[in-house]
Amino acid sequence: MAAIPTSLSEPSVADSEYTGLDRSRILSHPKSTTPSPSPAPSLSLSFSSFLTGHSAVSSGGPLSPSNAVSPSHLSAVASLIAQSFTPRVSIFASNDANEFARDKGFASVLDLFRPFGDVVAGSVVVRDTQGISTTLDNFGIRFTSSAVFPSTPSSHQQASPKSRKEPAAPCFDLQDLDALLDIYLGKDMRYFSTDLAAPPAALHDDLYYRFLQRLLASPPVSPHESFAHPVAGIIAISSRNPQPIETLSSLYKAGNDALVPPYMSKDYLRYYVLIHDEDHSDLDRSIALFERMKRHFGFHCHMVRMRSVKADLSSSEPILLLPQSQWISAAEEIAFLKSLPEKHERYIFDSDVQNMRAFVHELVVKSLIPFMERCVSTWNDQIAASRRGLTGRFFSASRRFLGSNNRGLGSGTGQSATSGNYDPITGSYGFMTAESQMRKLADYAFMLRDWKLAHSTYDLLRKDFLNDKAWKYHAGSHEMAAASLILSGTPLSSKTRADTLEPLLDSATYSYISRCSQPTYALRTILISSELLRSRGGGAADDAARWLMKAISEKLMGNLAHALIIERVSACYSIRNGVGSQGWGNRRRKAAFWQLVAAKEWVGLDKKQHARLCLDEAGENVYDALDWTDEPGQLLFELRHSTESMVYDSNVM
Amino acid sequence: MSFYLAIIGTKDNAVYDLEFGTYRQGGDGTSKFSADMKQLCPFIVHSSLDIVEEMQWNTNVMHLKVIDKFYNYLISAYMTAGNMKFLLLHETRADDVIRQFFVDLYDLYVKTLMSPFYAVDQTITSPVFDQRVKMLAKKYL
Repeated sequence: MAAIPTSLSEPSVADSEYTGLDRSRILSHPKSTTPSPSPAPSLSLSFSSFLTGHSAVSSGGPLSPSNAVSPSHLSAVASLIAQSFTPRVSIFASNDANEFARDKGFASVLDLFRPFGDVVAGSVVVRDTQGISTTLDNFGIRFTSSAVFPSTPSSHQQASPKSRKEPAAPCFDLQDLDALLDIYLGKDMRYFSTDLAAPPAALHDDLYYRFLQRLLASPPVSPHESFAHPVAGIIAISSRNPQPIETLSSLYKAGNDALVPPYMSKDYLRYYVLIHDEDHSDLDRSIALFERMKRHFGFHCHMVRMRSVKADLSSSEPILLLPQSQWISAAEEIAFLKSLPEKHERYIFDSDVQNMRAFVHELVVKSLIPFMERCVSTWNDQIAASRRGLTGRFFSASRRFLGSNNRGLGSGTGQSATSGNYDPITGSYGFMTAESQMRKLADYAFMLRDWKLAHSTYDLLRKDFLNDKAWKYHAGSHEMAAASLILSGTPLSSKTRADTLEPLLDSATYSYISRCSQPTYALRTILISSELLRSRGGGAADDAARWLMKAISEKLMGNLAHALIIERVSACYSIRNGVGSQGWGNRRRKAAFWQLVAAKEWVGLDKKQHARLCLDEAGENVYDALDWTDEPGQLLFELRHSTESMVYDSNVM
Repeated sequence: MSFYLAIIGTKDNAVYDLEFGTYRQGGDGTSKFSADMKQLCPFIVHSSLDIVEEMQWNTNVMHLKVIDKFYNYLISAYMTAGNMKFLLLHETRADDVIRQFFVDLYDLYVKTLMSPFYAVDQTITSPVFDQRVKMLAKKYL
């Protein structure tokens, strides 16, 4: 069957953007699906739905209520946060495996695997420490390269005391984000089109969703949180390899011997992958090799069957367009958007897609999740449970007491570390220490969406870090304690918010900004908590707005991001619709007011089209009904006037 | 110390507004708002109407005190029996003084209402009213 997609004949589709939100349109649009009649529609639809778990975003509504762990009270943006903290899987690929990927038209094995990690097809079930099973929605993993480790410890030791003061890597790059926003909001917003019929609120939501996604996409490897530390490592070879077992062993050894900082453990799950070349290698030979691998290395192996022929439009088998992974950093996306559109089109065979999806599913469900569950229960039993009990409290209290005694006796030593585990020079705990393992426990629980366990562990850790004056850890534990508290679904009365949540967020932001000079992390804290609070509605949305205003007044971000966050304050207010026919308790006027302030900022940044959008929304909801707002000299009037002077192409919007 | 007073009617319409500064401690009575703030003032007080409408049902006193904040500015409200809202944007807390100011302002307002040529929700354009309000401001704030 001749298989030339008709998309070629439609230039509008071909030069539209292959960015996240548009994907579902491309792939589900009947004309642009791959050509072979019967299997194509169902396959492409399932592909798009498997890749874009949030296809609901472009419709502007919250995710449909689904199972327990993605509760219906979470909006699309709030569940984005749950999805952004996912296990990292590093890839150690042999040279022949990378060559195999290059033959297919990808830069490396990582490049090939990456888009498949976004959402795991099929259902993912997790058992928590109590043995209760829950199904996770939109669970994904993040494939990373093996070179994510920061500078090796040897360079740390040789570094002179002056250079140890150099600031740690920021959580995200402010300039990159601003540059990305600039591109998004460019002249005709062609990199960022959504459903034209969608209401403007959906457009604001989408833009903010993308912004938040880029912000959360790739935190650096840091001592104080273990989200960026790999949970598993994939060791991959292809069937072309002349000495497979030896290569695998040497890759394993290389991974083991890699210099990692002292706070990172090398105790992650090793997973061995054999990529079978369907076109050139002998299947029986590969199967035999695979059996040998399983005998040698154990249960965690998989054989992926892939075509090595490069798929392109002239192939006779069904092919699909492989989109970019959702979770790329801002810098990568900028490079992607600026590169030529021809490079965007990467095709892959249907059969490959099926096999990859099965591989990821098996990796996650059969190996990764059980590994994480085991880690969680081991750490929980060994360490956390002992700390939580009465004896645990005595233990930590006595440790503090003895520590202060030591200080008194050894006057002049200036030792301030009470537990002795914290190393102020590198600013980290060794990976074997109880604190480090507890932090990992909490992070793993968070990634598995066991919010209550995560919250109780973060709570335990807070005091330890305070005593040890480990400020970054201190801030991190407060940040995650707040996030897990809101996500756990406990009812947030105004009293709980004032007594529990406020101090947590306060300490987190104060520690990050003043004690660690890491304003990017503080911004992340505020953005995460405010999004989660907003999705709770009611009085919590007011709190969300207040925290965003705090972020704005501290000017923690670049100019474009600043204006975007002002807009988000308005969105926080607009979610409050109040009760009853008169909407008692609504915040329409506040929402309109903040849209106005945002519009003013956008005009100042020369983003007049977007400013116009804000003004229209403010006017439509509230201000047009009033007669005093449209007089010359009033702000609204002047802003409208200044945004009318540009050519306003409503078709693009 | 600058103030912005607005009297807002039942349909969110502006009945009266006045910008002034403090006369105490050598102030000359002119407001010191930046140009940006000047433009934003009416919108700020308008947006705090949301909170007024929410709070009004919780108490039975007319003076609602400070109901809202905008960065470092506070907004106090006073709700009259006829659903007119007196809103004052100010910088420092002074609940008692502001209450007395509002009560006297209410007095003035009622006198305006008594005029047969004045209907509810009409803007107040009388220069005498203006002058009397300025005198009140001088006396209290």
